[in-house]
Order: sequence, then structure tokens, then C-alpha cells
Amino acid sequence: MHPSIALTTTIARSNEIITAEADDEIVMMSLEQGEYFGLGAIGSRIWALLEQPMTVAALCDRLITLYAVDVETCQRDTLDFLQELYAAEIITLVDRPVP
Amino acid sequence: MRDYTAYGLQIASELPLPELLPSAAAAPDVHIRYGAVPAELDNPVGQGVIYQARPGQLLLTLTGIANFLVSEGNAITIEPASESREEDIRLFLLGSSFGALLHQRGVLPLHGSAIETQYGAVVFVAHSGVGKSTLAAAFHQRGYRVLSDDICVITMDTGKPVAHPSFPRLHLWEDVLDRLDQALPRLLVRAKLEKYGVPLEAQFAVQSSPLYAVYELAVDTTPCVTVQPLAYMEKFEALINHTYRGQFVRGLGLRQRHFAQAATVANPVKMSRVTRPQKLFLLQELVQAVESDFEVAAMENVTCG
Repeated sequence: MHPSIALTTTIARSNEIITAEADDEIVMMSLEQGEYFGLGAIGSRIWALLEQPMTVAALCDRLITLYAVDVETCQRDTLDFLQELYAAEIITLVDRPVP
Repeated sequence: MRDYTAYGLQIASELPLPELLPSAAAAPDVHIRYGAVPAELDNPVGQGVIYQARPGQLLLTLTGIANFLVSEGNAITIEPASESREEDIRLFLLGSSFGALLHQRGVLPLHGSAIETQYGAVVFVAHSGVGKSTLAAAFHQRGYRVLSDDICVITMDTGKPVAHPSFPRLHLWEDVLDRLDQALPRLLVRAKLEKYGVPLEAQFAVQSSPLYAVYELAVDTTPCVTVQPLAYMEKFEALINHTYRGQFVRGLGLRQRHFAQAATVANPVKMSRVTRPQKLFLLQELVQAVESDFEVAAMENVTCG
């Protein structure tokens, strides 16, 4: 089982991923597994925001300024989405205290 | 040595290759020679039933036909088996061996047929048995020139995708290696090798063309032929899935390069999925649907009844 991601968890892009972008979509490949992934418009925005590691809460703070969504819905959906990305080893959990 | 051109390359070969167009190349890109080929590669990174691969080298081992060593994107060494036939050797040289070589050169070989239109090259990709060669043959009958019927090489030299001709022959044989890789009995495969191509004569395109559109052919329970445009991710996925000898990529250490090629080509090219009914092969409807699709600028039309 993967450890679950909480709002206070700091997440970062994996270094083991290469990406290519077009329009508002991104395709990715994990270097280790050679598996392909695709992110749609909102997923691509999240990937862009994750250029700097941040907590899930901070990420949602950014997302609610970009999309018409309330905080609770955003946090719930984002946690689900990030859990998927983590299972696919597209993101990593940063093992240090959040400043 | 004789000089030929195919797949956008100048080829010098000790083995006569009557399928290919002759060329007066001063500086060949590829040399094909007879010689000793090792039985195994040292430290292969990837392997299948009939191949071993590592960065820069791919060894193809075909019992009763030949062993082929494909090196660095510029050389193929052939060690024929005793009593092998040149036609069988050419089949695997021009198919799988060149597939490996094209990957080594960092281009994108698509497993598909292609025709030349006034808008540019139109490529048809499909899994075996769906009818890509049949469709190319139907367009050929309608007067279109054929670029390729099995492998269409895409390059991005100029920042725009370009499709390169393979050679002037419509193959009517099955996709042999896919079957071999599933370790089917060899006798069955030998029997399949008896089918050979028919020459295309003057209706073959000798020049490369800008890539205009790619159609992915599919079969479904639909009652009629439908044409559905693909979004970027679906385009990327189709290019990956229909890469010729994509199983060689990992062992050759070229996954990143292949990913980048597919991601780059997917961006500008128009791609659609053409679905035909399972029961009837409505060839005329299929040809008309595809033709009217690439003749209109917008690709959202659906042809039905």
C-alpha cells in the first residue's frame, strides 16, 4: 500500500518522468517502467504548479483561484488525483517538514 | 555493391534488392553486407523469441533463413542459413531489420500504409488484419500514388513531419514477425512466406511528402463507417501503438527518443479514427469516407447511411 497523502503532505514532481506538452495536455513517460501517462487540462495545470514542491493545501489554495470550485471539493478531488499520480510514481512525497 | 533508395535512405547492398528503386548514391547512409554474425549479443538489454537488442545493436535470429546484425543505424550484416532463399532473407531484411535500423537512426517508423494526396501524405495505421494494405490498394486503384504499404517513415527534420516512401510493392503477406514473436510453429510461418508483393509500377511515389493526416483504422459493431478526430493524447497513443517494431525500442535504449518523436509528431498532424463495421468490409464506403474527410478542412464529419 502507498502511504496516503494528506493536505499537509508536501509533494514534488518525480525526476524519473519525461514530459511533452501540446495545447493544454501533457503526455509523460516514466523512465524506469516505460509507461505512458496523459494529463488533461486541469491535470496539466497541477503539474505546472508543481514545478516547485508544495503542500496539497497550498496547491488547492492556488487551484481555487483558477477554477470555479469550493475548497472542500477541490481538496477532495485533488487528493484523489494526487493519490493516482503517486501510485503511478509521477509525483513523490517530500520527506521534510513544511515551512 | 548496388545502390538503392528506400525509407528516405540511400542504401548500398551486396545482396541484390529488386524490390527497391535503384539509386546513384554517392554517399550511402546504410551498408548491407554478408558476413559472420554472432549467435548472441553480449549483455542484451531487451530480447524476444527471435531478437536480442542493446544500445546500437540488434540481432535478429531466424532459423532456416538468416541471422541479421543491425548496427548503429548504418549497417546490416547478414549471415544466411544454408539452403535459405534470397526472397525470405529480403523479407526480414526489408521488414524487421530495417525496422531496427530506423529506430537506431532516431526516426519514427509507423506500421502503416501511405498514399500521396494533393494535401500531403495520408497514412493508414491499423493492427494486422484490419485492412490497411487493402485500403492503400483501393486508393491505388483510384489513381493515388502509394508511398508505402507497410512501413512509413516519419521524420521531423524541418520542424514539420515528413513521410518518406518505402518501396514500390504492395505486400500481400501477413505480418510475420508479430506471429513469430508469439512462437507459432515454424511450419506455419514458412507457409506464410510463400506470399509476395505485387509491383506498383508507375503508381509509386518516389518523393517524400509533408505528412498531412494519419487515420487509425478500427473495427467495431458500428453499422456504418465513422470518422472521429483524435485529441492530442489519443494521437500520441496511436503513434506509440502503431510504431513499427515498437518492441525493439526498449532494448535499443531508445525509449526517451521514441517518446519525444511521437509527442512531437502528434502535435501538428491531423489524426482520426476510422471505424468500420465488423461484419462487412465496406471498402467503397471506407474509401469515400476517408477521401471526403481529407478533402474537407474540418474533420468532424460522420458518414452514415
